Amino acid sequence: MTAGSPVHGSPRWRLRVCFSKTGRLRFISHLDFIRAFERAVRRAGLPVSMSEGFSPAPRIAYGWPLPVGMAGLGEYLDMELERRVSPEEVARRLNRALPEGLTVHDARYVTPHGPSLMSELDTGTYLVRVSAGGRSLGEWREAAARLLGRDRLEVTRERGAAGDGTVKGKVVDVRPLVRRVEAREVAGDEVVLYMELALTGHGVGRPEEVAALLWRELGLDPGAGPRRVSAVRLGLR
Amino acid sequence: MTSLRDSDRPADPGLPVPEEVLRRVTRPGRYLDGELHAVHKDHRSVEVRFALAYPDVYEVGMSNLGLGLLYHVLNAREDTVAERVFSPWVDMEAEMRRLGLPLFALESGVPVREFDFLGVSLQYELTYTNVLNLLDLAGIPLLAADRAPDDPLVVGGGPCAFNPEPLAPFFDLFLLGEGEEGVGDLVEAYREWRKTHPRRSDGDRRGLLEALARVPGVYVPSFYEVTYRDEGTVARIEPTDPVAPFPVVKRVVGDLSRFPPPPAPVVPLIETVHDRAVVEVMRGCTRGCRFCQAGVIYRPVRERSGTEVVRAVRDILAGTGYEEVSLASLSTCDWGPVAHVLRELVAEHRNRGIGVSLPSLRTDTFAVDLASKIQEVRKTGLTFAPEAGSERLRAVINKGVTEEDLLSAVRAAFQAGWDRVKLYYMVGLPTETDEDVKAIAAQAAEVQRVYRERGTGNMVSRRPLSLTLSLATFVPKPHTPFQWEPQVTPEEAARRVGLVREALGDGGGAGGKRRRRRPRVKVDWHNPQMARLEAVLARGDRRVADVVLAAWRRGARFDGWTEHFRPDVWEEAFRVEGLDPAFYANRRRSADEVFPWSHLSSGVEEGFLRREREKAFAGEGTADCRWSTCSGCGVCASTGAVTLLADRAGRGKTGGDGT
Ligand code: SF4
Repeated sequence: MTAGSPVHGSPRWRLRVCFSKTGRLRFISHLDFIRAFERAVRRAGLPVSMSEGFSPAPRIAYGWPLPVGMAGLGEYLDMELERRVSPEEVARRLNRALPEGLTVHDARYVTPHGPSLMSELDTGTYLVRVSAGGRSLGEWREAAARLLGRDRLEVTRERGAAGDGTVKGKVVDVRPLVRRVEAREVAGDEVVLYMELALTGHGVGRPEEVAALLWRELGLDPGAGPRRVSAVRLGLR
Repeated sequence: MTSLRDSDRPADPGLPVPEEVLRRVTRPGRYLDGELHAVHKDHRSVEVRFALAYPDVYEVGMSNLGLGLLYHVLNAREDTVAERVFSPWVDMEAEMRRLGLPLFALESGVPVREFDFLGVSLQYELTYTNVLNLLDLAGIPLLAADRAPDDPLVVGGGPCAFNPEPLAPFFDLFLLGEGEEGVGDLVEAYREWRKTHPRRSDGDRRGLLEALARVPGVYVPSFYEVTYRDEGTVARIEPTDPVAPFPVVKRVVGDLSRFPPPPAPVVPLIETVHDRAVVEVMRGCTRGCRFCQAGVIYRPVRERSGTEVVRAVRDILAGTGYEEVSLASLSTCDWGPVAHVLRELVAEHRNRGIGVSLPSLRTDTFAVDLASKIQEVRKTGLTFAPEAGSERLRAVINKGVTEEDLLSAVRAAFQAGWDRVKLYYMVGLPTETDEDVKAIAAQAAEVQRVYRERGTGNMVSRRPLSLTLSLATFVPKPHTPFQWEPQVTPEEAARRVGLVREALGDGGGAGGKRRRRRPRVKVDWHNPQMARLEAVLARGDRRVADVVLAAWRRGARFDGWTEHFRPDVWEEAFRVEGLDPAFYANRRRSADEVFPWSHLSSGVEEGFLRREREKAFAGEGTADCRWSTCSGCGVCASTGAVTLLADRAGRGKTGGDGT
């Protein structure tokens, strides 16, 4: 990424902001997060560009939504400023205005003509802690290797409740969405899994699904787990 | 990756709800706290802990202006902490009961039972079962008589406190009228009591209640005895304790400028019903609509100055980052400085994408002019409330709106580019005939005609008109000129709504969802069974408390939510308690009836209400005392407050009663 420069005609500065969403703030939805962020931008008095049209909105492009309940340690968004403010200054002012649980770690200017945030960052890295089902680290590692060796990985995804109240499922092959899976550690009856999953317009990998596939791979009873202890998105790339 | 362990568990020890529960329930953001400007105080550093509860979900409760004002006033005191409490949604309630998790205050997570006060905001009758649910989840005995000295004092406030009798056994006390000063006085009286009773378990509750009952505006229901006649009406209400005032007169803040709008209200993390900054510009309304309870209990009119409001808007926007600010009051178009303040606000804030809104519009061209100022480009819908379809009936209810007012208002709106209009009406108003009901449809047709004839100016919309009629069943309320009147039965309300539909050429039957041939006018019809329950609870006496309890025991919750309202449960509750809802909802009271709220005074004299009722039946109007002479309602004399108008000649205009 090269340093930002004004767009021709209208001088605009595209700032890529790296932030975390942790603590209680994990439990607000992506839309609620957007509202909270934009209010913080206004409180911080940043010269963010506004869109034209009937209802002007700040020009901010958000990355892949975090699932409700999951912390994100290295999330991204792009905001467009009307004039250059030093990235350190932006981070400082935002951090003063953001509610506890949202923290800006880094900001830098990127070329305003570059690809969109969502197409540039198409992989999420996750750390998931689930119940280990009494299996050892070695067994979990083997299961991960077997999983990656398969051609298809079928899961049933809910498609929302139908009119009659029954939940309809749809079978999806998630193999193309799984880029890497590792078992890192077993402590007590919990296993720590590291995953790299796709975030694309064609599909989004879900860490809990992958954990469930591993559980199945281990021949464990799907009714009994895996119980999620915690899940965090470490970053995007 | 060495710090896996830590980053893996973003610690938040303060969360009172287990994480897996938050992952399971809908909208977990309701239970989080952590919002900007939420106040956190060390409970050991204060003398009084005040839980402020709203008996509905977070999104509704956080949209209530009064709750936010009291939160601010109480937390401004060094000796007090105030924290918020809302009703858990049904899924969360199930989790709490399963885990034995007691109701807690959002900010500290401390169980409500450990607070000194539990204040409950009573805005709407159909939240009463939620009130019982809050007490039960908190582990506080439902009946005030069963409470121990160290249980919190359960205090109710808000409009329903003007007849809280259906809740009387569940509350230790009520505070009538505006709370800003009253809650402070309560805290003082409580601290005074504590000086001689240092431990919460010390002393008798009655002694404490006597100390609190000396605070003006405080009503302790257990200090009054109600007796009934054989036919079921109230025979007498008598004080049984020497300190109990008779009547209890409401509190009024004489001059609002003593309580400026809080510049830093709590900013919710999740979307609320009114998700915007709110600045209260005026309190009270003396237009004198005869069905309107707010128009009586918030008298007299007190305006804030334009300068104060412009400054408050600037501060609240800077403090919250909201993208919209609403100028709130019962009728903001009547606020003296409204036009020039809107102009100033739009000039100051528009280029930053910040919108200004008015909660309701008056039915005239002035209001449309105001709306044009704030919705220059994006035209969302406009809403007017003629309330009744015929000129005759509007005279009865003293809604001084003529057909021409309405038509010129919509004409101006259509010419300015609006194409979406919603009109509010009531069915079942006193003296209403079928002709009056059909006039609603005729008025809708007139509005359509005006739209067809809107001309071809470059502003006008080319889309078809979207016209919605919102029909509610009239609910007679205490302290209004119509407090003696019966409500129509749900069946009769349905028939009248059917008349409107028929007159509109709408094929659908009353309440039905059959396909309409010409869906040009949409009819929203509020559930008449809910309106009936509202009518029972609004004018109910203490015996109705048993019904509320029985309904709650049978699972009634969130009665104001159509999807949760269970008419069968309520019917059963009335039956087992041996009370007839029709006695409360559909009976015309005799002129000498003792009302269950006879000992509670809004400051407006009953004689005034009687005169207004007679004038209603004679079709005579009563002018607004702001712009005309005093109409002798009595509030200025009995409360000591006067009409205060801002920024125009006659500021400080004094109320009537011989002054
Ligand atoms: S006493 Fe007179 S001036 Fe005061 S509010 Fe009533 S009618 Fe208006």
